[in-house]
Amino acid sequence: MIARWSRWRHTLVGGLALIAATNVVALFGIMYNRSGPPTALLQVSDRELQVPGSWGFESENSGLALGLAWRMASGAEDDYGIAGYGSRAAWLDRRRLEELGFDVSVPADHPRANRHYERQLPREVLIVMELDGPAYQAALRRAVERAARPGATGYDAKSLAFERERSSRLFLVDAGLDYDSLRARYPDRSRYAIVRGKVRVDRWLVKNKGSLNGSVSGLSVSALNVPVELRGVLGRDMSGYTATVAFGQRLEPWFAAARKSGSDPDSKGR
Amino acid sequence: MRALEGEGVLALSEAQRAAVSAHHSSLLARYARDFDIDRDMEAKQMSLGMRIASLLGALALAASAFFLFYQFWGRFSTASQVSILLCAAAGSFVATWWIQTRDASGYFAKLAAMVAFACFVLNIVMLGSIFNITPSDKAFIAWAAYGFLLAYACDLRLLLGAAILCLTAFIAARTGTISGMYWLHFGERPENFFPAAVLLFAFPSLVRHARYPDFPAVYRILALLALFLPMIVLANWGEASYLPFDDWAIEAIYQILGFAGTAAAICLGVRRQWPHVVNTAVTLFIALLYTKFFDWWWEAMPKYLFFLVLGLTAVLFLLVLRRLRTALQQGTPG
Repeated sequence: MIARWSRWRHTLVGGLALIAATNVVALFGIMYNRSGPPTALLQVSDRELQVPGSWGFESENSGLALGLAWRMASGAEDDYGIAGYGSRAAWLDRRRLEELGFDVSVPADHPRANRHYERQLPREVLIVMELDGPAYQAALRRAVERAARPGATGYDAKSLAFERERSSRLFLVDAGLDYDSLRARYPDRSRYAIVRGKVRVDRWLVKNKGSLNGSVSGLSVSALNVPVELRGVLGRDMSGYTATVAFGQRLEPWFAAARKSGSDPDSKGR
Repeated sequence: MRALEGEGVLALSEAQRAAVSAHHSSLLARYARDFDIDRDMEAKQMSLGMRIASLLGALALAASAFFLFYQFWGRFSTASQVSILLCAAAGSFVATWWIQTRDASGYFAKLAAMVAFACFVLNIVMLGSIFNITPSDKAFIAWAAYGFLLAYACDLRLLLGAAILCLTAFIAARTGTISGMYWLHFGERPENFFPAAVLLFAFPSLVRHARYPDFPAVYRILALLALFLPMIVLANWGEASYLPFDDWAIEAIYQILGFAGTAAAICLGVRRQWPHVVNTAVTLFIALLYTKFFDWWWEAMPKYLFFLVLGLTAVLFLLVLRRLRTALQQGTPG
């Protein structure tokens, strides 16, 4: 009986210690992420945030996590003007893919190329996100040119208006494995954030000629939880607001502040 | 005793019979009080019903805990959310411990243990959601450790199974990341499960489970599943393999390995008198054989012939298994 009681007591201590240790490790990591100056601070609007769909059990979820509506910086032929996943990235070319650790030794036109590249699974790398920078300006310029060309349709005019007023200005523009070298290339912390994301290699057929380009299949942290103190501003209703997204030491983001568009920029959660 | 007397083996006086009967009754009463044993067939059937009710109750309570939090968590401050999660995990564990010290039957303790495990999983998952933490395979280690602790504390096979699955996922994820893949894709390369399968199969032979006689079977059954289910997948879908060969060659390799491996497991099970290994290996052998039959002959054969082949194969298996059973019975001492 004494032995059994002693075993139970050890179980109690061991279990509570395990729960405590796991939570301490997790919370320590969170504190570390949010310690010191953020690695980037982006002022995003409702254009760059996505409300989750209401399917499944989401209707019973009292919490809210907003997704980052990123777009791929790409050439004119791949620019569909919408936030999306899997778009071809012209900048994720063979050389960059090799730097990221992919085996690109088989030429894209080789008979074995399809199998060789299909077998390579996504890798987690560092990805540079650009807010309202040259990539967005290029997309806007393309929309202007399409709307201004002879024979432009009403759809082109609508696309231009959408690009100007509603489309996300958050573009994925580069990727690498080393944070410092990426930050050296993109030093503006209010325009460029470096995050973790998944890149995969794809073989594309352009004019019957095979080419290699990567695509981003997702960010490692795809949605940001909205704390209760910001729910007055950041809700399921996508009305105009500006939110400050901070990125910490572990490159994990969080909402640092939010305000209705046109209100006091220093206000927090009003 | 009545049967022994009827066959003339035993002759007791009325007083002796009453004394033996009283002794047996007292023993049964003590065992029932201390260990909650089943005293007759009716009690055994009731126990089975209680086990099923306990399992379903635990699953329902775990789901209830999750949806309760889901329904209200958005209304609390971040500090309150973290406190609630921590208190739920610690509170459910203390409740399990408290029930365990008072519940001789173990049904309520097992139910509480499963709820405690669900609360701990919820604790870690929700911390990740609240603070936008990058998903990590390390969570599987914490869940596995907690699952093992509860399983061994409450003698609970279901939680042992959950803990083993978490550990298998962790080892498979780590194996997958050696090739550079993102850990969440570990399931896309079935070979990632092989190291975990080998470790799990060896574990109960390396560590004695005198106080937990049912646990080695759980380890070995899950090890066999972790080894041969990926082989069945690869025997039919070679492109998922790491091996740098053509798909047909990979499929042929895993067909041979699958058939030879399950046959070897059956032999090992017979030799070591592990009926759980024999049963699992036979099931996996048949599953591999039937998937290959479908692959080879479904299109080529008239359907009556296809099903006739399946039926004849089943008859052949019955004959082989009957011989195995005889071998097992002859090998059983006493």
